[in-house]
Amino acid sequence: MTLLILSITFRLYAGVVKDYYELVQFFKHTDYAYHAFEVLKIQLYNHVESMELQGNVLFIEKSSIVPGRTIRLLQRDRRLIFVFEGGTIQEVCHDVTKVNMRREGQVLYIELVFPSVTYERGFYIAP
Amino acid sequence: MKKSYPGGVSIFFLGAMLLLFSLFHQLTQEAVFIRYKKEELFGLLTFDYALESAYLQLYHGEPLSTSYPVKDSMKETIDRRLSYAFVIEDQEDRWILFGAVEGKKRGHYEIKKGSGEHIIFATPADVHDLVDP
Repeated sequence: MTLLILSITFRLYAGVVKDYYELVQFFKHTDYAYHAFEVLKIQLYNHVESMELQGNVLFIEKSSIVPGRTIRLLQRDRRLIFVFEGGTIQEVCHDVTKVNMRREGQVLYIELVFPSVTYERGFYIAP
Repeated sequence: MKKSYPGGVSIFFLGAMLLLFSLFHQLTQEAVFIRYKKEELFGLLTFDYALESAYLQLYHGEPLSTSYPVKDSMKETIDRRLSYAFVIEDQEDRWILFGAVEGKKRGHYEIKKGSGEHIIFATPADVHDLVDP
């Protein structure tokens, strides 16, 4: 009887812990994605003169009043980063397994694939 | 503690069992609630991004029907929990695009009609597709 109760308790506890871990992963990745998209929005909608998508790398050319004029957006290892002129790096998002970018007309789609969840958002791309 | 009589039940252990079962019940309830909330959060965020994409496509003259803004894999996940629709209204001087989730309005975009603006609008057939995806 004691053994039975103990085993049931342990099974339940293991399930709760597993659920909790998955949930934390989900919320963490949702938060990362949300934050990354907001940062991208600020960078892509301000002082942009031209954008060009080559493969999975986005080249951004900004107006001359901005200190770092040419910026690349790309994935390196498990991070999504901006590489500014001169090699300065801004990390947009980490723990991302794959970043897919595609362009349909004037709209650029950036898809962030996390181990637990996938999000996609569209951005207007300057001609 | 008073020893229980033969054939009787110890009050102490009965109480302990009750406590244990109420704890299990509580845990199960919370797990169900949190799972529901998780699906809802994911669905709503995906819906918002999809609506924004639809607006961008519409504004920049992309035909909506060819590239549906919600991917199939995401669509399944949303469909499981939430009923949703994209609605486009044609008014005199503007297009109005808004979404509906569970019968409630969510998100609102307006595109002004102008002679100089490059707006190509979906045909009525596309609108029908969008309203009932």
